[in-house]
Amino acid sequence: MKTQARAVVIGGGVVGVSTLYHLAKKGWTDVVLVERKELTSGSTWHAAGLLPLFNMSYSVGQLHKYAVNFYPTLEDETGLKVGFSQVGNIRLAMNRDRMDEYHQYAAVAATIGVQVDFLTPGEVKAFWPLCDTEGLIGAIRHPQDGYIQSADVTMAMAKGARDMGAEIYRHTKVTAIERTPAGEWLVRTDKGDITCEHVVSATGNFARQTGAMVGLDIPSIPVEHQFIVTEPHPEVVKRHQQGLPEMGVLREPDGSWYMREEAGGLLLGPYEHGAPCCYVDGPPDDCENELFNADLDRLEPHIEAAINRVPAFGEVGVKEVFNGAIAYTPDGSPMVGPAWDRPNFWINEGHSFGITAAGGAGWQIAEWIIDGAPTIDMMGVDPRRFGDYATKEYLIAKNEEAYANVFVIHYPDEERPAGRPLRTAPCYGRMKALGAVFGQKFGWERPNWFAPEGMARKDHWSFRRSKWFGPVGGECRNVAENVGLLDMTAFAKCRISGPGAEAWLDRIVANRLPQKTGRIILGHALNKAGGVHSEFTILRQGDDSFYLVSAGAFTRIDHDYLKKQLPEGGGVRFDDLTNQTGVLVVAGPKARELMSRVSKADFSNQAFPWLSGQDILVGLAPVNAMRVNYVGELGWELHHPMEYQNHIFDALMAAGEDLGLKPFGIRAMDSMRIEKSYRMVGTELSIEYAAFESGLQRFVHPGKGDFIGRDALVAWRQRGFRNQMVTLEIEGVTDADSHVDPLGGNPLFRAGNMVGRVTGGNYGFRVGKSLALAMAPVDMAGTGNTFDIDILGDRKQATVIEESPYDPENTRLRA
Amino acid sequence: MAVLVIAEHDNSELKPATLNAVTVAQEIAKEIGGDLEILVAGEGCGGVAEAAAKIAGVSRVLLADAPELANQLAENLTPLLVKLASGYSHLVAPATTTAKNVMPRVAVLLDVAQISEITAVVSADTFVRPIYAGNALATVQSSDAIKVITVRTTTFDAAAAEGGGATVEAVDGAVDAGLSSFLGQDLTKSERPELTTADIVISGGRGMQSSDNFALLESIADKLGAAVGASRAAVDAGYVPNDYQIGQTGKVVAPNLYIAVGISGAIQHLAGMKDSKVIVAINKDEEAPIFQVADYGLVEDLFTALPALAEELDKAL
Amino acid sequence: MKVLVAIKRVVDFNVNIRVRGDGSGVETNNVKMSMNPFDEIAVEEAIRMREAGTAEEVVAVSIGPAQSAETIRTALAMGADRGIHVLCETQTEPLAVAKLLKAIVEKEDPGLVILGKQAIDDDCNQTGQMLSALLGWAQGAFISKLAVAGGNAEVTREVDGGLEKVSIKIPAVVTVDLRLNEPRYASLPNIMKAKKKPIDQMSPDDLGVDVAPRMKILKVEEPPKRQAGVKVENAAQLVDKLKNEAKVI
Repeated sequence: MKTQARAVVIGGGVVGVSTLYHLAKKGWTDVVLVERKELTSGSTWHAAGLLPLFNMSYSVGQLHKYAVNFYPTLEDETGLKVGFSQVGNIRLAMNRDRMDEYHQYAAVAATIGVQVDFLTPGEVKAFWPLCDTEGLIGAIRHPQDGYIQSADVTMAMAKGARDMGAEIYRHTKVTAIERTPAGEWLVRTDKGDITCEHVVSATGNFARQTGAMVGLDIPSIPVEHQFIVTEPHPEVVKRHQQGLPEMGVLREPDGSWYMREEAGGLLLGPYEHGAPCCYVDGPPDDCENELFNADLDRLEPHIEAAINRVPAFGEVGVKEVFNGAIAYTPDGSPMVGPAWDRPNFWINEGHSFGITAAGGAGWQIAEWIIDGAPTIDMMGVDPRRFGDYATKEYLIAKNEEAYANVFVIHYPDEERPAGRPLRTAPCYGRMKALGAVFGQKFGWERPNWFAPEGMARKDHWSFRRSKWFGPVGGECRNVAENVGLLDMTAFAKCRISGPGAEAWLDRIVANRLPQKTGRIILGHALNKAGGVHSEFTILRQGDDSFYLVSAGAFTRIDHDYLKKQLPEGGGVRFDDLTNQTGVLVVAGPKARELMSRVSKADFSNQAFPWLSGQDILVGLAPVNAMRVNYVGELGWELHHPMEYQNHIFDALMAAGEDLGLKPFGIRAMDSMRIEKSYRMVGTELSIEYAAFESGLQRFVHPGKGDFIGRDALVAWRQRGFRNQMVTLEIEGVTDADSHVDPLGGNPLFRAGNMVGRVTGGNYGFRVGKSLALAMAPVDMAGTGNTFDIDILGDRKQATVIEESPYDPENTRLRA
Repeated sequence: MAVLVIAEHDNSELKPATLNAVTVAQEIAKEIGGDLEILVAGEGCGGVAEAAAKIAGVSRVLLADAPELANQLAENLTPLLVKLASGYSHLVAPATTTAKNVMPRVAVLLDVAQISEITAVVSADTFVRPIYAGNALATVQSSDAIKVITVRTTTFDAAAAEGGGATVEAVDGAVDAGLSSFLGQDLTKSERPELTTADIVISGGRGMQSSDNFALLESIADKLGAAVGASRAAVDAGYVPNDYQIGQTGKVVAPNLYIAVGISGAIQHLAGMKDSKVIVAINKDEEAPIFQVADYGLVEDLFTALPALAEELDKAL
Repeated sequence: MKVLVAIKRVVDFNVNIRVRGDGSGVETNNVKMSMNPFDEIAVEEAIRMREAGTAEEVVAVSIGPAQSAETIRTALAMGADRGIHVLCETQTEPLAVAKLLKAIVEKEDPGLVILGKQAIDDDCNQTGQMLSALLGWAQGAFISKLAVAGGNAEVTREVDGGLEKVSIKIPAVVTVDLRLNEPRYASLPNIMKAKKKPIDQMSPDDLGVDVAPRMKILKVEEPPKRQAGVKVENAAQLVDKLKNEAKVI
């Protein structure tokens, strides 16, 4: 066994083995994998092996697509069969919302290059004669996916890795992981120690135990999942004898189950309510190939739904019921990427669809480790998208919920209740009393919208205009006419200070830093390739002190990114101010009047210009008032020590009553930011687009001196950009039911060819138009260019308009 | 206190399994400082009783010779054994199907537990027996006044068949319970040694693919003077009769040499042969579990390996 | 006639059992449990008898902890008509089980009691024989064929030398061996319907039986491990090693 390696992968399931394989493939052959028992002996061996291409997320969908293309190539490469049955995958729809979901998905699929066909019920029956089509309104089919033999594909990747020089040590248990004084990792095992540069944790059901070795609380706890295998069914056997193709994977999301053929019979896998978490404190020490006792009782409704849909399933006996552990995370997506607060420690855990995701996850994490960044936007699976709030009890509640919701309709405005409310700003109760309907972000409760008097405070989700459309319109209009109050306490905030702060920060962001104390800029941290990693609002608070604000969802991602770049010798200090600082935003033409009533500061344009910040008092409370906002109105972000929040809130509400001060929520904010063409990280801004493609010319200055990503961006510009961000107006979108606004992911077509994609869209209440922000080809980005845009299966016309259709001259926010 | 061994025989010959049971009985007899006696029950089995009397260390042989006992019918044997039992502290039989058929009945009518397939004697009341297909060994202590025991013969050496000079006493009391009657039997006739006592055993599994192919094993068995066995899969598939089956619920063997051909090595089969001194596995699947217990493993198609093996044996022996 | 089938919940035969480090026994917590495979064959035989009209009711009996009810449900799903559960949380020996079954037989008055040859956990192979003796009935142990006609049953038994045919008087106790039949798999509708079939629960006290064990388990250990072996290249090498190294031929 080696005592030294470039990287050690811990865990020999499909995910760990894929990681090892892809590291070796990228040229790091001095890599090893340690597995405590036999390869696949955790969850991989009992996985049903399905390879669904379907995933609502643009990034996860790309990972799934990679696997379907990559796995079969292993047969030629290694000589080992992987057992890929490319039998296709049909997803049934029993109601219109489900079809909306499929259309929204099909749009995303088109932008990834995944083929998906829409089927009529009759066409479903042609593929799946044993399926009863009653109650179906349609379906989608992926001709390219199917299922694979989970253990076989793992063994093939293991052989491939070994053939390239990587080593695998089985029956080798990791007992500790330590840092050496030289700054390396020391992986201690019961067979010897290995020093290495990078460690990847791919330990599945043992994720939390592995994390604990380095002091990390990894947010993954497994859930029990069962699937039922029947004895052969004469109809299925007859089809085989007649040389007919296998019927393929059938999924009924509305019944929350999947089914496929297995050895002449049928295999049913439900995702039921009430499946408990398992291995809450870790699997037993000598656990290997473990299965739990079946509980068919809790599967009953799904079994009934399945028999209803496929009567043959109830006609033959049950040969076996498998009940095994599958790793889960609070949102049901895996964690693939760097661990927070630890250098060179990587997490490839929480895989609920591990067989499908392993290929792509191994591929991207290898790039991340070796090149320093992935090529796909991995935000959706970044391990740092969860925070400290993901305690063990939280995980139990959320992971069970994630499991039960695997097949739920994934509405764009979906909010899930388990583990909530958890983190609440002080004004939570007051907002609630005002009719707030809350959502959650990074554990924080945030008002999404406000239900007017007489309307139930219940959320309603849809791919079309929901019940909250009207109220949100009211909120926007009130902001445009009077003044609104928004709780943005969930913002991530930190201070960068010290003698080296300015020079250091200047290299992190692509914009010129504020020269004077009290000035604000919008600064973007690019990654090494010139794409955008983070966006910060930066206020200079002193010669050596900068206050940074970024989106709450990225608190851990952004802060971990900054902390990992802090210079070794000191001189730059990072202070996380997130949990002690509240943020209330006032915005609207009467904002100045309102502020003047609650504070003695001078809010005139001369004294308090746009993009400046001052320490003021609101009532008796100290506030760092920043004249900046995300809705394009006259307004201030009031950052304050958390304990004063209600004092400030009450002062504002009292003073604003006759000014028409009303609260507004996140959904209104999103509508208003689209009207201003304001970009957002994760949609318009991502590592997949060059900063200039996202239209950040005003904020990115290669001429200012070196910063991370500068050279790559310049080189990219020289090669030529493919895309340019545009603002689109969608024609013909009128009433709520039959026409809808773009949600993002929609493809743009010109002359029948897909040429671009929408990154975000909404209805702009202040301009009265349906709008979208999109990436279009550079030569089609001028105003007046038209495209066909697909919205839920309908084609509409979209025209490129000038940026910031609402108040393009910014007179309102600079008032 | 004395020990009574229930002999295994076919009315004409004493079966070797009896001798392994006698070894156990001798150990117990020594522990309790008592006598060792043997019961021969059957019809026309006087010759068996005489052979039993010659076994070293036996003080008395009881002969129950009656037509009702001709075919070892459990319902008829039981009352006899129950009647005799009161004189003994231990009733010991080899774990043959005959004994397994009868001994539990005797135990329950004596209102004592029955201890199956012991593999070691720790003391007069404490024994070791395999559970979970031999994947665990339980040491059990009996609190009953009479211990009714069956013995896993492969774990014990055979007692010396000669050197003893016991008396043979007739006992009566055999009754026809009238509950059952013998209709016939279908015993495998073979020139080969008995499976459970053979020094060498060669076994075939599902990989043999047909009963005809078992001839390949038989010719090798002939060269080695071996017995032929099979896995459950081969028996289920009809390649060989059921008495060839080695495994948790078939026969347990522990020969000097066990050759497993085309047998994957499921736990249930291993239970029947893993105490063999030397295990050889021939299988074309190198991942087959049988290789985990094999001292020598040959990864090769058995249809190539067996003829080659036959040839090599001819050269070497 | 009524047929009684005795079934036992045991560790699933596919599970690699683990012996507890303290020697107290085999680990059964969180381990997959199933009906004893021989008992599945017993249940199957009883149901076939009912389907053939030889039996008019099949009753499944189990002695065990609360979860044994699940095992009885499996028998009901296969087609048994009702169940009897003798709730007993402690381990039982065949002696006690046989006495409990006798008490139930006296209440139920079946014509045939079918058991599996042995339970794959304790590997005793005693209960059926003990029950038969307690009842003073005929027994057919380790049967691979069963034919009931009138007041008799003709059984074929698997014995060391081959097969044996015996005629036994009804009522009788039989224990089944592997090749008697291939048990059916219960379909899901039958599994769901089985929840509605009745299971009577009772305790050993209700039946007047003392289930205290006669044997104390002093310890449970793993058998000695075999040393790892070697691979040989061909038959010639094999023969050479057997002759000259292991000296077994």
